[in-house]
Amino acid sequence: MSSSFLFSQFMGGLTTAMFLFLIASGLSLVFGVMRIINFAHGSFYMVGAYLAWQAVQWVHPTGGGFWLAVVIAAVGVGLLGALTERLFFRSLYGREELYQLLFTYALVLILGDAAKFVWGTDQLSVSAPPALAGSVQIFGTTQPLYTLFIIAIGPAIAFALWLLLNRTGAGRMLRAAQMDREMLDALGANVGTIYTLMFAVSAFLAGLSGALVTPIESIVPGMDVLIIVQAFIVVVIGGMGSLWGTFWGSVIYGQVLSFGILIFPGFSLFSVFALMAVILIVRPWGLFGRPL
Amino acid sequence: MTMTHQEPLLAIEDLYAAYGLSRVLFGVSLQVDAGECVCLLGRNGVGKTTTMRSVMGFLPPTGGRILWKGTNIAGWAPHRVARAGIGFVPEDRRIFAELTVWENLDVATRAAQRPGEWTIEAVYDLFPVLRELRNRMGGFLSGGEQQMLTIARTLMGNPELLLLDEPSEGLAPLVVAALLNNVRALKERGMTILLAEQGVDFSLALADRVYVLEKGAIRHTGPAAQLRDDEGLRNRLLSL
Repeated sequence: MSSSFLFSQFMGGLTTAMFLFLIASGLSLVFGVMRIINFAHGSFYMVGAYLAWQAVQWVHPTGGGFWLAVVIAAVGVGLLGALTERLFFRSLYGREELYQLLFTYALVLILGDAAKFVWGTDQLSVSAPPALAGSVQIFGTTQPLYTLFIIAIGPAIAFALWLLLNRTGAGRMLRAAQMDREMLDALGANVGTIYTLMFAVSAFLAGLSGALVTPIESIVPGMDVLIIVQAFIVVVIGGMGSLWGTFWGSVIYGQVLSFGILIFPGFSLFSVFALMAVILIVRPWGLFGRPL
Repeated sequence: MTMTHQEPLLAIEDLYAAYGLSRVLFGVSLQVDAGECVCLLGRNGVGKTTTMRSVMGFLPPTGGRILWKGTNIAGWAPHRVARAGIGFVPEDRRIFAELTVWENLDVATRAAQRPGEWTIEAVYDLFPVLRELRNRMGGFLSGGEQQMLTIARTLMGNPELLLLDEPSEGLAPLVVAALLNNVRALKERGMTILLAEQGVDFSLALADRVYVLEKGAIRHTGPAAQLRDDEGLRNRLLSL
Protein backbone atom coordinates (compact mmCIF):
# COMPACT_ATOMS: atom_id res chain seq x y z
CA MET A 1 0.00 0.00 0.00
CA SER A 2 1.45 3.34 -0.96
CA SER A 3 1.77 6.09 1.58
CA SER A 4 -0.36 8.42 -0.50
CA PHE A 5 -3.13 5.83 -0.47
CA LEU A 6 -2.89 5.57 3.32
CA PHE A 7 -2.91 9.35 3.58
CA SER A 8 -5.97 9.52 1.45
CA GLN A 9 -7.72 6.97 3.71
CA PHE A 10 -6.62 8.99 6.72
CA MET A 11 -8.10 12.20 5.29
CA GLY A 12 -11.33 10.40 4.43
CA GLY A 13 -11.54 9.12 8.01
CA LEU A 14 -10.92 12.59 9.34
CA THR A 15 -13.72 14.08 7.24
CA THR A 16 -16.16 11.45 8.48
CA ALA A 17 -14.91 12.11 12.00
CA MET A 18 -15.46 15.85 11.93
CA PHE A 19 -18.98 15.51 10.51
CA LEU A 20 -19.79 13.01 13.20
CA PHE A 21 -18.31 15.27 15.84
CA LEU A 22 -20.55 18.17 14.80
CA ILE A 23 -23.59 15.94 15.16
CA ALA A 24 -22.54 13.94 18.20
CA SER A 25 -21.39 17.00 20.18
CA GLY A 26 -24.98 18.25 20.43
CA LEU A 27 -26.23 14.80 21.38
CA SER A 28 -23.57 14.46 24.04
CA LEU A 29 -24.09 18.00 25.37
CA VAL A 30 -27.80 17.48 25.90
CA PHE A 31 -27.17 14.17 27.59
CA GLY A 32 -24.41 15.64 29.74
CA VAL A 33 -26.41 18.59 31.00
CA MET A 34 -29.99 17.37 30.87
CA ARG A 35 -29.64 13.56 31.00
CA ILE A 36 -31.88 13.26 27.97
CA ILE A 37 -31.11 10.67 25.33
CA ASN A 38 -32.42 12.35 22.23
CA PHE A 39 -32.98 9.87 19.41
CA ALA A 40 -34.49 12.67 17.35
CA HIS A 41 -31.11 14.42 17.15
CA GLY A 42 -30.49 12.73 13.80
CA SER A 43 -33.85 14.04 12.65
CA PHE A 44 -32.74 17.58 13.44
CA TYR A 45 -29.69 16.89 11.28
CA MET A 46 -31.94 15.70 8.44
CA VAL A 47 -34.21 18.72 8.76
CA GLY A 48 -31.07 20.89 8.61
CA ALA A 49 -30.08 19.29 5.32
CA TYR A 50 -33.54 19.74 3.79
CA LEU A 51 -33.80 23.31 5.08
CA ALA A 52 -30.42 24.13 3.53
CA TRP A 53 -31.60 22.76 0.19
CA GLN A 54 -34.86 24.70 0.50
CA ALA A 55 -33.03 27.90 1.39
CA VAL A 56 -30.77 27.55 -1.64
CA GLN A 57 -33.92 27.26 -3.81
CA TRP A 58 -35.32 30.42 -2.27
CA VAL A 59 -32.16 32.47 -2.21
CA HIS A 60 -30.46 31.48 -5.40
CA PRO A 61 -32.24 28.79 -7.43
CA THR A 62 -29.43 28.60 -9.98
CA GLY A 63 -26.83 27.75 -7.36
CA GLY A 64 -24.95 29.85 -4.84
CA GLY A 65 -26.18 31.35 -1.63
CA PHE A 66 -24.72 28.37 0.17
CA TRP A 67 -23.49 30.16 3.29
CA LEU A 68 -26.73 31.99 3.82
CA ALA A 69 -28.54 28.67 3.44
CA VAL A 70 -26.29 27.12 6.09
CA VAL A 71 -27.13 29.92 8.52
CA ILE A 72 -30.85 29.66 7.80
CA ALA A 73 -30.78 25.90 8.29
CA ALA A 74 -28.79 25.99 11.52
CA VAL A 75 -30.85 28.79 13.07
CA GLY A 76 -34.10 27.24 11.84
CA VAL A 77 -33.29 23.88 13.39
CA GLY A 78 -32.12 25.63 16.57
CA LEU A 79 -35.56 27.24 16.84
CA LEU A 80 -37.25 23.92 16.10
CA GLY A 81 -35.21 22.40 18.92
CA ALA A 82 -36.20 25.15 21.36
CA LEU A 83 -39.84 24.71 20.41
CA THR A 84 -39.78 20.92 20.86
CA GLU A 85 -38.10 21.33 24.24
CA ARG A 86 -40.72 23.82 25.42
CA LEU A 87 -43.67 21.82 24.16
CA PHE A 88 -42.65 18.22 24.81
CA PHE A 89 -39.30 17.47 26.43
CA ARG A 90 -40.13 19.60 29.44
CA SER A 91 -42.57 17.01 30.74
CA LEU A 92 -40.03 14.21 30.35
CA TYR A 93 -37.35 15.38 32.77
CA GLY A 94 -36.94 13.12 35.72
CA ARG A 95 -39.07 10.41 34.10
CA GLU A 96 -37.75 6.97 33.31
CA GLU A 97 -35.44 6.72 30.31
CA LEU A 98 -37.97 4.46 28.63
CA TYR A 99 -40.44 7.35 28.25
CA GLN A 100 -37.73 9.56 26.81
CA LEU A 101 -36.73 6.88 24.32
CA LEU A 102 -40.32 6.25 23.29
CA PHE A 103 -41.01 9.94 22.88
CA THR A 104 -37.86 10.77 20.96
CA TYR A 105 -38.41 7.72 18.77
CA ALA A 106 -41.93 8.96 18.02
CA LEU A 107 -40.37 12.28 17.07
CA VAL A 108 -38.03 10.44 14.67
CA LEU A 109 -41.03 8.90 12.91
CA ILE A 110 -43.02 12.14 12.83
CA LEU A 111 -40.16 14.28 11.50
CA GLY A 112 -39.19 11.57 9.00
CA ASP A 113 -42.69 11.45 7.58
CA ALA A 114 -43.05 15.21 7.66
CA ALA A 115 -39.85 15.55 5.62
CA LYS A 116 -41.17 13.04 3.05
CA PHE A 117 -44.44 14.94 2.90
CA VAL A 118 -42.79 18.31 2.33
CA TRP A 119 -39.73 17.40 0.24
CA GLY A 120 -40.71 14.07 -1.31
CA THR A 121 -38.54 10.97 -1.54
CA ASP A 122 -36.21 11.99 -4.36
CA GLN A 123 -32.53 12.53 -3.73
CA LEU A 124 -31.72 16.21 -3.45
CA SER A 125 -28.32 17.82 -3.58
CA VAL A 126 -26.65 21.16 -3.07
CA SER A 127 -23.45 22.21 -4.77
CA ALA A 128 -20.42 23.29 -2.79
CA PRO A 129 -19.82 27.03 -2.48
CA PRO A 130 -17.70 28.29 -5.40
CA ALA A 131 -14.83 29.38 -3.18
CA LEU A 132 -14.42 25.81 -1.91
CA ALA A 133 -15.29 23.97 -5.14
CA GLY A 134 -11.67 23.33 -6.11
CA SER A 135 -9.11 20.89 -4.80
CA VAL A 136 -5.45 20.81 -3.87
CA GLN A 137 -2.68 18.23 -4.19
CA ILE A 138 -1.30 16.97 -0.88
CA PHE A 139 1.19 14.03 -0.73
CA GLY A 140 0.23 13.06 -4.22
CA THR A 141 -3.45 12.91 -3.37
CA THR A 142 -6.25 15.15 -4.52
CA GLN A 143 -8.07 16.73 -1.60
CA PRO A 144 -11.22 18.76 -2.26
CA LEU A 145 -11.07 22.13 -0.54
CA TYR A 146 -14.47 21.48 0.95
CA THR A 147 -13.28 18.42 2.92
CA LEU A 148 -10.30 20.42 4.21
CA PHE A 149 -12.78 23.03 5.37
CA ILE A 150 -14.80 20.38 7.21
CA ILE A 151 -11.64 18.99 8.81
CA ALA A 152 -10.82 22.48 10.05
CA ILE A 153 -14.29 23.33 11.31
CA GLY A 154 -14.51 20.30 13.64
CA PRO A 155 -11.71 21.36 15.99
CA ALA A 156 -12.88 24.97 15.69
CA ILE A 157 -16.36 24.05 16.95
CA ALA A 158 -14.85 21.83 19.65
CA PHE A 159 -12.69 24.69 20.86
CA ALA A 160 -15.59 27.15 20.72
CA LEU A 161 -17.76 24.79 22.78
CA TRP A 162 -14.95 24.29 25.26
CA LEU A 163 -14.58 28.06 25.62
CA LEU A 164 -18.32 28.46 26.03
CA LEU A 165 -18.51 25.84 28.78
CA ASN A 166 -15.35 26.70 30.67
CA ARG A 167 -14.64 30.36 30.15
CA THR A 168 -18.02 32.08 30.17
CA GLY A 169 -20.63 32.79 32.80
CA ALA A 170 -23.26 31.01 30.73
CA GLY A 171 -21.01 27.95 30.59
CA ARG A 172 -20.58 27.95 34.35
CA MET A 173 -24.35 28.06 34.72
CA LEU A 174 -24.67 25.08 32.36
CA ARG A 175 -22.09 23.09 34.27
CA ALA A 176 -23.82 23.95 37.55
CA ALA A 177 -27.14 22.81 36.06
CA GLN A 178 -25.47 19.56 35.08
CA MET A 179 -24.16 19.01 38.62
CA ASP A 180 -27.22 19.97 40.64
CA ARG A 181 -30.27 21.31 38.89
CA GLU A 182 -32.38 21.69 42.03
CA MET A 183 -29.71 23.67 43.89
CA LEU A 184 -29.24 26.04 40.99
CA ASP A 185 -33.00 26.56 40.97
CA ALA A 186 -32.95 27.33 44.71
CA LEU A 187 -30.26 29.95 44.06
CA GLY A 188 -32.64 31.79 41.76
CA ALA A 189 -31.83 30.52 38.27
CA ASN A 190 -34.66 29.63 35.94
CA VAL A 191 -33.26 26.26 34.98
CA GLY A 192 -36.10 25.72 32.50
CA THR A 193 -34.80 28.61 30.38
CA ILE A 194 -31.24 27.28 30.62
CA TYR A 195 -32.46 23.89 29.38
CA THR A 196 -34.31 25.45 26.46
CA LEU A 197 -31.19 27.36 25.41
CA MET A 198 -29.05 24.26 25.83
CA PHE A 199 -31.42 22.29 23.65
CA ALA A 200 -31.46 25.04 21.06
CA VAL A 201 -27.64 25.02 20.88
CA SER A 202 -27.69 21.25 20.47
CA ALA A 203 -30.27 21.41 17.68
CA PHE A 204 -28.34 24.30 16.08
CA LEU A 205 -25.26 22.08 15.86
CA ALA A 206 -27.34 19.27 14.34
CA GLY A 207 -28.84 21.67 11.80
CA LEU A 208 -25.42 23.09 11.01
CA SER A 209 -23.94 19.68 10.32
CA GLY A 210 -26.97 18.69 8.26
CA ALA A 211 -26.53 21.79 6.13
CA LEU A 212 -22.76 21.36 5.79
CA VAL A 213 -23.08 17.74 4.68
CA THR A 214 -25.24 18.62 1.65
CA PRO A 215 -22.37 19.26 -0.82
CA ILE A 216 -20.89 15.84 0.00
CA GLU A 217 -23.87 13.57 0.51
CA SER A 218 -27.24 13.61 -1.13
CA ILE A 219 -30.31 14.41 0.93
CA VAL A 220 -32.56 11.37 1.18
CA PRO A 221 -35.19 10.00 3.55
CA GLY A 222 -33.52 7.72 6.08
CA MET A 223 -30.41 9.85 6.50
CA ASP A 224 -31.71 10.67 9.99
CA VAL A 225 -31.66 7.09 11.24
CA LEU A 226 -28.38 6.30 9.55
CA ILE A 227 -26.61 9.19 11.25
CA ILE A 228 -28.11 8.76 14.72
CA VAL A 229 -26.77 5.22 14.96
CA GLN A 230 -23.28 6.44 14.08
CA ALA A 231 -23.53 9.39 16.46
CA PHE A 232 -24.51 7.05 19.28
CA ILE A 233 -21.53 4.81 18.56
CA VAL A 234 -19.30 7.88 18.77
CA VAL A 235 -20.62 8.97 22.16
CA VAL A 236 -20.50 5.42 23.49
CA ILE A 237 -16.83 5.21 22.47
CA GLY A 238 -15.93 8.65 23.76
CA GLY A 239 -18.16 8.79 26.80
CA MET A 240 -21.63 10.32 27.07
CA GLY A 241 -21.56 13.92 28.17
CA SER A 242 -17.85 14.48 27.63
CA LEU A 243 -16.94 17.09 24.99
CA TRP A 244 -13.39 15.88 24.35
CA GLY A 245 -14.59 12.30 24.63
CA THR A 246 -16.98 13.00 21.79
CA PHE A 247 -14.21 14.66 19.80
CA TRP A 248 -11.72 11.80 20.15
CA GLY A 249 -14.52 9.26 19.85
CA SER A 250 -15.31 10.77 16.45
CA VAL A 251 -11.67 10.72 15.38
CA ILE A 252 -11.33 7.07 16.41
CA TYR A 253 -14.60 6.17 14.69
CA GLY A 254 -13.53 7.86 11.46
CA GLN A 255 -10.13 6.16 11.34
CA VAL A 256 -11.40 2.74 12.36
CA LEU A 257 -14.07 2.96 9.67
CA SER A 258 -11.62 4.20 7.07
CA PHE A 259 -8.94 1.59 7.70
CA GLY A 260 -11.33 -1.16 8.81
CA ILE A 261 -12.71 -1.27 5.29
CA LEU A 262 -9.24 -2.25 4.07
CA ILE A 263 -9.12 -5.19 6.45
CA PHE A 264 -12.74 -6.33 6.20
CA PRO A 265 -13.95 -5.12 2.81
CA GLY A 266 -17.66 -5.64 2.45
CA PHE A 267 -18.32 -5.24 6.17
CA SER A 268 -17.76 -1.53 6.35
CA LEU A 269 -19.36 -1.00 9.75
CA PHE A 270 -18.02 -4.22 11.27
CA SER A 271 -14.88 -2.67 12.78
CA VAL A 272 -16.69 0.21 14.49
CA PHE A 273 -19.36 -2.06 15.94
CA ALA A 274 -16.63 -4.40 17.16
CA LEU A 275 -14.79 -1.48 18.73
CA MET A 276 -17.99 -0.29 20.41
CA ALA A 277 -18.68 -3.77 21.76
CA VAL A 278 -15.18 -4.02 23.23
CA ILE A 279 -15.49 -0.61 24.87
CA LEU A 280 -18.92 -1.44 26.27
CA ILE A 281 -17.43 -4.55 27.89
CA VAL A 282 -14.16 -3.05 29.14
CA ARG A 283 -15.18 0.52 29.92
CA PRO A 284 -18.95 0.94 29.65
CA TRP A 285 -18.80 4.66 30.40
CA GLY A 286 -16.57 5.32 27.39
CA LEU A 287 -12.96 6.40 26.99
CA PHE A 288 -13.38 9.89 28.44
CA GLY A 289 -16.63 9.52 30.34
CA ARG A 290 -17.17 8.78 33.97
CA PRO A 291 -19.11 5.93 35.56
CA LEU A 292 -22.72 7.02 36.06
CA MET B 1 -53.76 52.33 68.22
CA THR B 2 -50.56 54.21 68.66
CA MET B 3 -48.19 51.47 67.57
CA THR B 4 -47.99 50.62 63.92
CA HIS B 5 -48.41 46.95 63.39
CA GLN B 6 -45.43 45.46 61.68
CA GLU B 7 -46.09 42.58 59.35
CA PRO B 8 -43.90 39.52 59.88
CA LEU B 9 -41.36 38.89 57.13
CA LEU B 10 -42.40 35.26 56.86
CA ALA B 11 -45.63 33.81 58.20
CA ILE B 12 -46.47 30.16 57.76
CA GLU B 13 -50.13 29.45 58.41
CA ASP B 14 -51.51 25.98 59.01
CA LEU B 15 -49.10 24.28 56.63
CA TYR B 16 -49.73 20.72 55.48
CA ALA B 17 -47.25 18.86 53.29
CA ALA B 18 -46.74 15.31 52.09
CA TYR B 19 -44.33 13.21 50.07
CA GLY B 20 -46.78 11.26 47.96
CA LEU B 21 -49.04 9.41 50.36
CA SER B 22 -46.81 9.89 53.37
CA ARG B 23 -47.90 13.02 55.16
CA VAL B 24 -45.22 14.97 56.99
CA LEU B 25 -46.60 18.31 58.16
CA PHE B 26 -49.88 18.69 60.03
CA GLY B 27 -50.83 22.33 60.36
CA VAL B 28 -47.50 24.02 61.12
CA SER B 29 -47.79 27.72 61.88
CA LEU B 30 -44.88 29.99 62.63
CA GLN B 31 -43.63 33.44 61.92
CA VAL B 32 -40.35 35.22 61.58
CA ASP B 33 -39.99 38.98 62.03
CA ALA B 34 -37.34 41.03 60.29
CA GLY B 35 -34.03 40.91 62.15
CA GLU B 36 -34.97 37.87 64.23
CA CYS B 37 -33.17 34.55 64.51
CA VAL B 38 -35.80 31.86 64.93
CA CYS B 39 -34.97 28.22 65.50
CA LEU B 40 -36.96 25.16 64.50
CA LEU B 41 -35.90 22.51 66.97
CA GLY B 42 -36.71 18.87 66.81
CA ARG B 43 -35.35 15.42 66.27
CA ASN B 44 -34.62 13.86 62.92
CA GLY B 45 -37.73 13.33 60.80
CA VAL B 46 -40.13 15.69 62.59
CA GLY B 47 -40.53 17.94 59.55
CA LYS B 48 -37.91 20.69 59.87
CA THR B 49 -36.40 20.11 56.44
CA THR B 50 -39.86 19.57 54.94
CA THR B 51 -41.01 22.93 56.29
CA MET B 52 -38.04 24.63 54.64
CA ARG B 53 -38.45 22.74 51.39
CA SER B 54 -42.11 23.77 51.31
CA VAL B 55 -41.18 27.41 51.75
CA MET B 56 -38.60 27.11 48.95
CA GLY B 57 -41.15 25.58 46.60
CA PHE B 58 -39.53 22.16 46.26
CA LEU B 59 -42.54 20.58 47.90
CA PRO B 60 -45.74 22.51 47.23
CA PRO B 61 -47.89 22.35 50.35
CA THR B 62 -51.11 20.36 50.34
CA GLY B 63 -52.73 22.95 52.58
CA GLY B 64 -52.11 26.23 54.31
CA ARG B 65 -50.41 29.46 53.33
CA ILE B 66 -46.85 30.71 53.21
CA LEU B 67 -46.89 34.49 53.43
CA TRP B 68 -43.76 36.38 52.41
CA LYS B 69 -44.23 40.06 53.28
CA GLY B 70 -47.94 39.39 53.08
CA THR B 71 -47.95 37.63 49.69
CA ASN B 72 -48.87 33.97 49.56
CA ILE B 73 -45.92 32.25 47.89
CA ALA B 74 -47.09 28.68 48.47
CA GLY B 75 -46.47 26.71 45.27
CA TRP B 76 -44.09 29.21 43.68
CA ALA B 77 -41.15 27.73 41.78
CA PRO B 78 -37.91 27.72 43.80
CA HIS B 79 -36.16 30.30 41.61
CA ARG B 80 -39.08 32.69 42.09
CA VAL B 81 -38.93 32.24 45.85
CA ALA B 82 -35.17 32.84 45.78
CA ARG B 83 -35.56 35.97 43.68
CA ALA B 84 -38.19 37.25 46.11
CA GLY B 85 -35.42 37.29 48.73
CA ILE B 86 -35.41 33.93 50.52
CA GLY B 87 -32.03 32.21 50.61
CA PHE B 88 -31.81 28.48 51.27
CA VAL B 89 -28.79 26.69 52.74
CA PRO B 90 -29.58 22.96 52.47
CA GLU B 91 -28.37 20.53 55.08
CA ASP B 92 -26.49 18.37 52.60
CA ARG B 93 -24.67 21.55 51.41
CA ARG B 94 -24.80 20.66 47.74
CA ILE B 95 -21.98 22.81 46.53
CA PHE B 96 -21.13 22.41 42.86
CA ALA B 97 -18.29 19.94 43.33
CA GLU B 98 -16.63 20.46 39.95
CA LEU B 99 -16.69 24.22 40.07
CA THR B 100 -14.07 26.20 41.98
CA VAL B 101 -14.99 28.21 45.07
CA TRP B 102 -15.01 31.39 42.99
CA GLU B 103 -17.10 29.75 40.26
CA ASN B 104 -19.63 28.56 42.86
CA LEU B 105 -20.03 32.15 44.06
CA ASP B 106 -20.14 33.55 40.54
CA VAL B 107 -22.85 31.10 39.48
CA ALA B 108 -24.91 32.06 42.52
CA THR B 109 -24.57 35.76 41.66
CA ARG B 110 -25.77 35.10 38.13
CA ALA B 111 -28.56 32.82 39.30
CA ALA B 112 -30.12 35.24 41.77
CA GLN B 113 -29.61 38.54 39.88
CA ARG B 114 -30.06 40.41 43.16
CA PRO B 115 -27.16 42.80 43.61
CA GLY B 116 -26.66 44.24 47.07
CA GLU B 117 -24.22 44.46 49.94
CA TRP B 118 -23.08 40.84 49.53
CA THR B 119 -20.46 40.70 46.83
CA ILE B 120 -17.77 38.07 46.37
CA GLU B 121 -15.34 40.35 48.20
CA ALA B 122 -17.79 40.82 51.07
CA VAL B 123 -18.25 37.07 51.60
CA TYR B 124 -14.47 36.58 51.39
CA ASP B 125 -14.23 39.07 54.28
CA LEU B 126 -16.77 37.07 56.29
CA PHE B 127 -15.08 33.74 55.45
CA PRO B 128 -11.41 34.58 54.79
CA VAL B 129 -10.57 30.92 54.21
CA LEU B 130 -12.69 31.01 51.05
CA ARG B 131 -10.49 33.73 49.62
CA GLU B 132 -7.44 31.52 50.09
CA LEU B 133 -9.24 28.55 48.54
CA ARG B 134 -10.93 30.49 45.75
CA ASN B 135 -9.34 28.42 42.97
CA ARG B 136 -9.94 25.05 44.60
CA MET B 137 -12.65 22.72 43.34
CA GLY B 138 -15.66 22.61 45.64
CA GLY B 139 -15.36 18.84 45.88
CA PHE B 140 -11.90 19.14 47.44
CA LEU B 141 -13.01 21.24 50.40
CA SER B 142 -13.38 19.92 53.94
CA GLY B 143 -16.85 19.63 55.48
CA GLY B 144 -16.48 22.90 57.36
CA GLU B 145 -15.17 24.75 54.31
CA GLN B 146 -18.05 23.37 52.26
CA GLN B 147 -20.52 24.59 54.86
CA MET B 148 -18.99 28.06 54.71
CA LEU B 149 -19.10 28.02 50.92
CA THR B 150 -22.73 26.98 50.86
CA ILE B 151 -23.68 29.85 53.18
CA ALA B 152 -21.52 32.27 51.21
CA ARG B 153 -23.07 31.07 47.97
CA THR B 154 -26.58 31.72 49.25
CA LEU B 155 -25.51 35.19 50.46
CA MET B 156 -24.60 36.07 46.86
CA GLY B 157 -28.34 36.40 46.21
CA ASN B 158 -28.57 39.08 48.93
CA PRO B 159 -31.44 37.33 50.72
CA GLU B 160 -33.58 39.09 53.26
CA LEU B 161 -34.21 35.79 55.03
CA LEU B 162 -31.77 32.94 55.36
CA LEU B 163 -33.10 29.40 55.78
CA LEU B 164 -30.26 27.46 57.44
CA ASP B 165 -30.94 23.75 57.54
CA GLU B 166 -28.81 21.97 60.15
CA PRO B 167 -25.59 23.87 59.48
CA SER B 168 -23.70 22.12 62.29
CA GLU B 169 -24.53 18.59 61.18
CA GLY B 170 -21.53 16.30 60.80
CA LEU B 171 -18.95 18.96 61.69
CA ALA B 172 -16.23 18.72 64.35
CA PRO B 173 -16.83 20.82 67.53
CA LEU B 174 -14.07 23.30 66.68
CA VAL B 175 -15.52 23.84 63.22
CA VAL B 176 -19.00 24.27 64.69
CA ALA B 177 -17.65 26.94 67.03
CA ALA B 178 -16.13 28.85 64.11
CA LEU B 179 -19.36 28.53 62.13
CA LEU B 180 -21.34 29.77 65.10
CA ASN B 181 -19.25 32.93 65.09
CA ASN B 182 -19.87 33.42 61.38
CA VAL B 183 -23.62 33.03 61.73
CA ARG B 184 -23.64 35.30 64.76
CA ALA B 185 -21.79 37.92 62.72
CA LEU B 186 -24.48 37.61 60.06
CA LYS B 187 -27.18 38.06 62.67
CA GLU B 188 -25.45 41.13 64.05
CA ARG B 189 -25.38 42.61 60.59
CA GLY B 190 -29.16 42.39 60.66
CA MET B 191 -29.78 39.18 58.71
CA THR B 192 -33.06 37.47 59.49
CA ILE B 193 -32.48 33.75 60.02
CA LEU B 194 -34.70 30.70 60.27
CA LEU B 195 -32.53 27.92 61.61
CA ALA B 196 -33.34 24.22 61.78
CA GLU B 197 -31.38 22.20 64.32
CA GLN B 198 -31.52 18.93 66.21
CA GLY B 199 -29.15 19.95 68.94
CA VAL B 200 -29.69 22.73 71.47
CA ASP B 201 -26.08 23.94 71.65
CA PHE B 202 -25.87 25.66 68.31
CA SER B 203 -29.48 26.78 68.16
CA LEU B 204 -29.87 28.18 71.67
CA ALA B 205 -26.63 30.10 71.35
CA LEU B 206 -28.10 32.02 68.41
CA ALA B 207 -31.85 31.99 68.48
CA ASP B 208 -34.18 34.64 69.83
CA ARG B 209 -37.22 32.43 69.66
CA VAL B 210 -37.75 28.72 69.32
CA TYR B 211 -40.39 26.47 67.83
CA VAL B 212 -40.18 22.84 68.89
CA LEU B 213 -41.49 20.53 66.21
CA GLU B 214 -42.76 17.03 66.89
CA LYS B 215 -44.35 14.64 64.41
CA GLY B 216 -45.05 17.39 61.94
CA ALA B 217 -46.69 19.84 64.33
CA ILE B 218 -45.54 22.65 66.62
CA ARG B 219 -45.34 21.32 70.16
CA HIS B 220 -43.94 24.36 71.93
CA THR B 221 -43.06 27.92 71.16
CA GLY B 222 -41.35 30.56 73.25
CA PRO B 223 -38.24 32.61 73.77
CA ALA B 224 -34.94 30.77 73.43
CA ALA B 225 -33.87 32.02 76.85
CA GLN B 226 -36.68 30.05 78.46
CA LEU B 227 -35.35 26.76 77.03
CA ARG B 228 -31.80 27.75 77.82
CA ASP B 229 -32.58 28.33 81.50
CA ASP B 230 -35.17 25.65 82.20
CA GLU B 231 -33.50 22.26 82.01
CA GLY B 232 -36.67 20.43 82.97
CA LEU B 233 -38.62 21.95 80.07
CA ARG B 234 -35.74 21.24 77.72
CA ASN B 235 -35.63 17.58 78.73
CA ARG B 236 -39.38 17.18 78.45
CA LEU B 237 -39.48 18.66 74.97
CA LEU B 238 -36.34 17.31 73.40
CA SER B 239 -35.32 14.05 75.03
CA LEU B 240 -36.63 10.74 73.87
